[in-house]
Amino acid sequence: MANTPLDGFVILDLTQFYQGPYATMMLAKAGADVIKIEPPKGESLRGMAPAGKTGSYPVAALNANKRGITLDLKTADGRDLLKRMVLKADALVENYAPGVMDRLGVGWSVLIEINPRLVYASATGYGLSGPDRDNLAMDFTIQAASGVMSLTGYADGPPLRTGAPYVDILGGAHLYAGLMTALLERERTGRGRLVEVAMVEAVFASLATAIDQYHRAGEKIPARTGNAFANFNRAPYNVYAAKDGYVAIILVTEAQWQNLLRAMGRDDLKDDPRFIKNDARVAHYAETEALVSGWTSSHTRAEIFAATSKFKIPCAPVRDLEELLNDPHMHGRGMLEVVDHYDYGPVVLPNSPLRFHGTDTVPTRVSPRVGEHNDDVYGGWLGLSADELQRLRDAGAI
Amino acid sequence: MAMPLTGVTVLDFGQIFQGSYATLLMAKAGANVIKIEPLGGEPLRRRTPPGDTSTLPFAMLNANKRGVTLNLKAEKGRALLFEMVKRADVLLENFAPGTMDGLGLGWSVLHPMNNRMIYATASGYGISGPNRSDLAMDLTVQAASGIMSVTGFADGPPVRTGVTVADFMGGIHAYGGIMTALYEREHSGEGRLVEVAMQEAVYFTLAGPMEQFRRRGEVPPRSGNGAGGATAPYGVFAVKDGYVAIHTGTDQHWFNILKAAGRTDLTDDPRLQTMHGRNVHLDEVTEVVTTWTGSLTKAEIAEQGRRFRIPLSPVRDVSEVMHDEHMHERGMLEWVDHPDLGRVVLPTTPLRVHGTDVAPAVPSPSVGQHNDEVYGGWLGLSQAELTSLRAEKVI
Repeated sequence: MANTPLDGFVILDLTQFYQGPYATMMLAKAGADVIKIEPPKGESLRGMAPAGKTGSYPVAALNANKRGITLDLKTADGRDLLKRMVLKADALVENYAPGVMDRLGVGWSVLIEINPRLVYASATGYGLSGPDRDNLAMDFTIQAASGVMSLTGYADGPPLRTGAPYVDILGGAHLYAGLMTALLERERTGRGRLVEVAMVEAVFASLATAIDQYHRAGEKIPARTGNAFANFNRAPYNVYAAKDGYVAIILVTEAQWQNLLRAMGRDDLKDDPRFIKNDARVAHYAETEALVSGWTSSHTRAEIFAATSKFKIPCAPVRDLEELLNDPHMHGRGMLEVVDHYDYGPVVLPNSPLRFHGTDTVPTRVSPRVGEHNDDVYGGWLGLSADELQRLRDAGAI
Repeated sequence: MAMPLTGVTVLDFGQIFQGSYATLLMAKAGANVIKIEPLGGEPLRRRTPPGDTSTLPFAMLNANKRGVTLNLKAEKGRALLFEMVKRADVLLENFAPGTMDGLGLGWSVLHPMNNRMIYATASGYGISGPNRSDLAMDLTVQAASGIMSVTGFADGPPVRTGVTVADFMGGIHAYGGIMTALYEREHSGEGRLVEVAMQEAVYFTLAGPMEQFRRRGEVPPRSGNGAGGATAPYGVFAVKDGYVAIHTGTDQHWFNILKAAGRTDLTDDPRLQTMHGRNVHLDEVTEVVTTWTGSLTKAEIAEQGRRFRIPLSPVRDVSEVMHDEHMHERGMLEWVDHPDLGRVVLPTTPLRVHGTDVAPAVPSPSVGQHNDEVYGGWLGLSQAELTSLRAEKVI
């Protein structure tokens, strides 16, 4: 037996795009046998691949260590095959729109009768109930619906999208969490559960600071403040221009202000009443900001980071994608690795952010081609004969 | 009550957001979460306005927990922790890497005392590697992780996401990691050291931008609310009383927009049949969309989005979200009478395990509120011992 937390676990993965595949990728990286089940043409995210490629970076990153099979749930043979797999599986994960699996006749209520131990995990935009259940959901629209977009950008401009679709990934991480909770409970009860995550709900807690500002201001909506803290209530707290890019600097304690003065070589201001406490600096906001940006703009990011590190001030250079892909820290920790992928050749791919010390690391297997493991799974695992496989192929069921 | 984590005892050294979010979700799933704070309370309490003893973030993230105080710098405090460790299933902390080791309370010390206990640590950059000791706050992790570099406009600076991204990403991953280790323990009998770094928890959000980077061979410019040519129409458009975000995921969505906009005369326009075609004629497409959105309110366009099957949402503000009928009906949000804050909207949990009981809302504890209950009731200390521990500022 492999020394991994989820060794021996079988997951039927009917997920697509980002949210669901992120959850099942983490399951695969923790040692589970994840069988990615796609329609015969491949899941929707594959459709966005450039000409001549079978995938894209997101496909490769989100589907590593999974086996890939095809299945047409619109055929009776296909549904029958799914039910046979459900008998042998621990969990099924899907992120179709609410009601899709029920309409196909393979929803939770049907499958739990076949396998009472099955954990069925569903991820959607707005959840399986409530008035907004059927609203179409994409990361972008949930950023708007969840309030995130209203808080991002500048007061004199429109609400602004976060350029990374983090709501999808956040939803996927919650899906993983919910699924594992139900699997743990099953150890005690012997029963499977329906587990549900809605993106709009997964985001809510991250509004905590904005909600605080709203509440303190007597239920007044905080204006967008760009890179500054809500209501410009903290200083310094911003993204400042350096000679070669930008740095983010945030002060949490008053001692850090004194340290920043030292880092900037402005110890002469240590008793200056305009800057002595956060309240004073907020009252003299423009002067405080000018002081800091005057310093940052005459130094490189590396110089600023070296100085702030020396004086224990929270700061980070704003890094771009290229810097990230080459980050020695994440490569050193094994979070990033160079993998030889059939679509790309050598490419930097991420591992799971969940680290279980003392376990074996699951060696990376690249994302499967569409239907790559049909023989393996239907033949080997389910025990179908070569004739049956051929018949299912001919019938378009797989 | 039958809840998924009934019987699981968690020692919660979570502070601010990251750690506290993970343990909140455990408390809401039925775990017995004991929040352990220094005598003055954890840092998030210190952000309280004068005269108040709690804030909404604190109330949100610490509901359904019991609160005790403990001075880990005192030898008797550490001894008390050891007693609790012997009885606990999980310990979670999100101190800077090495803090617990420095106090003589790290994984290597605690694991031999209770080899079944899971020790979870959540940090900004992880407990190994060259950047391990970099100071990590949500803003700096947004910068370091690359998220900020892809947010904003091409001619402006990188822009922060206006909510706390990295902390909550880290927190939910910590929760997931702990559940995995608890599950494994059912079979192995052994606890694990579980580790999450915020920067790593955020990495996959950049999968799409990474693809653009690969295709171009250079870092793509920030694209504001645009899709960078991938899909059209896509963006944030003005309505009468605010904004709406529209994401045309398929060509059918475009035809649906034309129906809603009363512009079915364009349905067969050969120039506008594909994403590529609409990007080539983006000005004309945008004109159709803005004329339509500009004639409607947020409520009206939301209704049209439902009726005509268009992926869109009004850009909602904090107040609209807190009072969202949908989330209240589903039980994600509820009104709670909080001893410090009065009647406030608080979240329950986004993790829904159907068929289980739902934990009734219990307001966040005051500092040391449950010292007697936990140290007296659970650990069995006498009244005299409790008094002396208080006098010595151990609890």
